[in-house]
Amino acid sequence: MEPAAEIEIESGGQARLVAIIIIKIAGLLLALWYQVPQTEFVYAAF
Amino acid sequence: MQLGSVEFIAFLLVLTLVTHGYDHPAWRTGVLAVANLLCLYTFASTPPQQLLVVVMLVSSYAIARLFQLQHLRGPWALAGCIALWAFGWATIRQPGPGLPASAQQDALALVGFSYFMFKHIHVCIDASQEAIPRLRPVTYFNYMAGFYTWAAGPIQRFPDFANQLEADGGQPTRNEVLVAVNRILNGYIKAFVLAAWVAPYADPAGIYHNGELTGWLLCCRLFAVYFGYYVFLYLNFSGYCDLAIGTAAMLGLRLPENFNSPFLARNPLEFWQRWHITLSEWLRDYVFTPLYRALRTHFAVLGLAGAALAYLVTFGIAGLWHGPTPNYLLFGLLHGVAAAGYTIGNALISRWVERERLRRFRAHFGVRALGMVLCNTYVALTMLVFGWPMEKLNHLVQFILARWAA
Repeated sequence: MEPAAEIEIESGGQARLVAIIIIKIAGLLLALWYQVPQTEFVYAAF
Repeated sequence: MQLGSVEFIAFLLVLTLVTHGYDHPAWRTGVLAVANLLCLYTFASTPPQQLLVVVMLVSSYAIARLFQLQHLRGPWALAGCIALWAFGWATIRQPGPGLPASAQQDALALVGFSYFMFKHIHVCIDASQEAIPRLRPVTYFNYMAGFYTWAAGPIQRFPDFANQLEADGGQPTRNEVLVAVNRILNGYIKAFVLAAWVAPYADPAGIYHNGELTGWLLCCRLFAVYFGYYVFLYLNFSGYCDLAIGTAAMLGLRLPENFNSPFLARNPLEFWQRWHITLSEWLRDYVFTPLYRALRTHFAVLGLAGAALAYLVTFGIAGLWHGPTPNYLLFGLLHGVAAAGYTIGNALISRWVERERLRRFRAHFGVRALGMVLCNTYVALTMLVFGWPMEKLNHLVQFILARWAA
């Protein structure tokens, strides 16, 4: 595979990842907006 | 400052920028040491707490070096470490001069006492067996005090951590940082949104005073209660592990995975290869295997019963690790019984049924699906025992029996 093609695929994958991250952040902010109660970590030992 | 707080996000962003400022192992080690010190200072905010943490870290390093230099062997190393930490735990839990009870509890909860212990026992045993050639103080400090693993683990092995921290070119690429951010977001969504959404359905209190719940509606609600805590625990625990793994990845460190789709497990042994994997591997290496070997050597007459006994003891310890209560012990023993029963059953069936026929039977879709249903139903029962006090479980059983009779 040519390096240029590699870079293109990698940047395409990164763009998709950035889009997913933005969507998740938006979802989290929406959940905070609706005041979803936070949960403590319950599996803590001792 | 807790994993998931706004302060933590700001701290992580600054730390990531500083770590990426200069690509050298010594720089990464130094920055991580300062970050761990800062976190220790934040968590253990009073002088007695700080003293406690310092004593734990320094003494554990001294003991690990002693094991390394003296080549103390397996069972002695294990027994010595357990005695040390049992003594430390009992001392810390007792209200004593200069250390108020609340401070002791805070320190225990925040420092992740048990993860310290697991890591320390592993370092001592492996160092005594020459599996850890170098034990640098700063690397050891970063390993033990890694702020991202305090709450939920996972339990990383020292050589794996040291190799990553001390290697050249350990800085994450841009793509790896994006994957890490995605992982952290997964953790937030699981632990703070989905777990919070599932939690009310897992609580049986919601169905007692709701007279409208009858017939199928009541069955569905009971179904949600039965599997609810299992699902909640998975989301909560694996969410926190995602946060830890993503945080470490931002700093160029790869933590081992702790979960691998546990709901797909088809038998009790496979479940523990998918749930809290690093603890299962730790228990396998430092409890089950030495115990089973010892039983086979000294009590060969036990045969399969030796394996069953080793499972019961190992899972009993795993249960008690969560806390010295009857619920946790019962949780561990239920898993021990399941693992022992599965092992014995498997061995007996293998004697009677031809190997190839058995393999084809197990590969059948229906058998695999049935295995998953049975395994998850049993695990959900153990999670109820794990999660709710006995009185609450008793109340739930009484409620179901009363409704059944009516």
